[in-house]
Amino acid sequence: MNQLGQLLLVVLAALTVENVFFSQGMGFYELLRGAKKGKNITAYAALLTLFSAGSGMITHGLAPFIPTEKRVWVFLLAAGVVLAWYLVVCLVLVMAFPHMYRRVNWCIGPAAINTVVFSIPFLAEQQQWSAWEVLGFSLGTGILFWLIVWVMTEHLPKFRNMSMPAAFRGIPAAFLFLGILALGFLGFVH
Amino acid sequence: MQITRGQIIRSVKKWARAFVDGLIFQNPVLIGGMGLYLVLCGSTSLEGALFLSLLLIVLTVPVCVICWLAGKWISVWLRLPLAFFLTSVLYLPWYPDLQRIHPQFMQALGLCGILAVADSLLLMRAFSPEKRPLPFVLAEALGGAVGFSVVLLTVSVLWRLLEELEQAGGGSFSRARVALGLIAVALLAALWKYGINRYKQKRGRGLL
Repeated sequence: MNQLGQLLLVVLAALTVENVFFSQGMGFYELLRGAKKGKNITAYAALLTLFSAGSGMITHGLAPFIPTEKRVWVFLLAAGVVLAWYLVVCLVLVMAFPHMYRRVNWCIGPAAINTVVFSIPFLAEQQQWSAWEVLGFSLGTGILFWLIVWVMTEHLPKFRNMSMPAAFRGIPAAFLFLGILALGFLGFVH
Repeated sequence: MQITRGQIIRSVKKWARAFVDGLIFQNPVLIGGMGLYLVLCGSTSLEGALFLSLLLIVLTVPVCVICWLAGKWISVWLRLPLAFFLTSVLYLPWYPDLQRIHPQFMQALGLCGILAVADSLLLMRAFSPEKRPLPFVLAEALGGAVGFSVVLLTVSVLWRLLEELEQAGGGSFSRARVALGLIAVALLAALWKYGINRYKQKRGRGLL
């Protein structure tokens, strides 16, 4: 019960005050990519959660076996785990669920290897998280990722509106929108 | 087969055009939306931004060449892990030395100094089109890396100015680093696009 409460608290923190997107500026390319594609958003977010949680928890489990606590070793371990986890998930999907693999193969790489997934082991090491906290943070990050991509997908046609000055159409409007969203999220922090 | 002087000049012109495309018309940050994390978090100090720019330019060349060479033999789903493996392997031996030689840069960069290897700016080089000639792809990638550096250094200079203003205010700029950074990049992207549109209009009218 206590662990479940802790997990929910971390999910809430990852959704609001400590979210990696608006408080640290990570993963915007993946967000924009998901919004541009506009389909299979749930699968994209689920894969990001799976890769974050998997690589974070495996690195957390293996961390006591590395010789020193120096960051270079955490770097080595995290990079190895991210790569191995990506290959394992790809092989499982190809062998067991080929239909699903064909549906998600456009987003499987970007969902697995990005700054968000790679940051989880370092954040866990920095803040001395437990395995539950790693899981909760990954879950919260995945939910927020889905929410932002969904909002962006809905608004993307408006960013190309012809009544907008030509210079602001497209990417500049998307950046402005994200900047205003980030200002909104600042309300949770201060 | 003998290569004529005209052919060499034509090739150099093509590569220069690819470089300019990567730098201006296909700028990875302002047009492609890549590398935003490094721009938002790596711009906190001008020295850190300079270091990050150099690192990205240096890492882009081998990643681009190896991915282009490997692109003919390996399938698409393996290219991204290959690029990540390459960036990690190329950066890892330097990391302890950089921490020892330039501790202030690495401290200023923080987590950004490590996560640079997983940034979209480098990883998307994995999909360099193998059907195009290598010098062309390399020129475009280098142009992109220089384009990224221009944006990073501009945002960094802007932060330096805001920090000076902040000393007179209540410290609100550094609290909203990501939000203000995104708005600054948005305005820069709009300015960039305005310049490109003007250039295209003038070219269309035959004024250039």
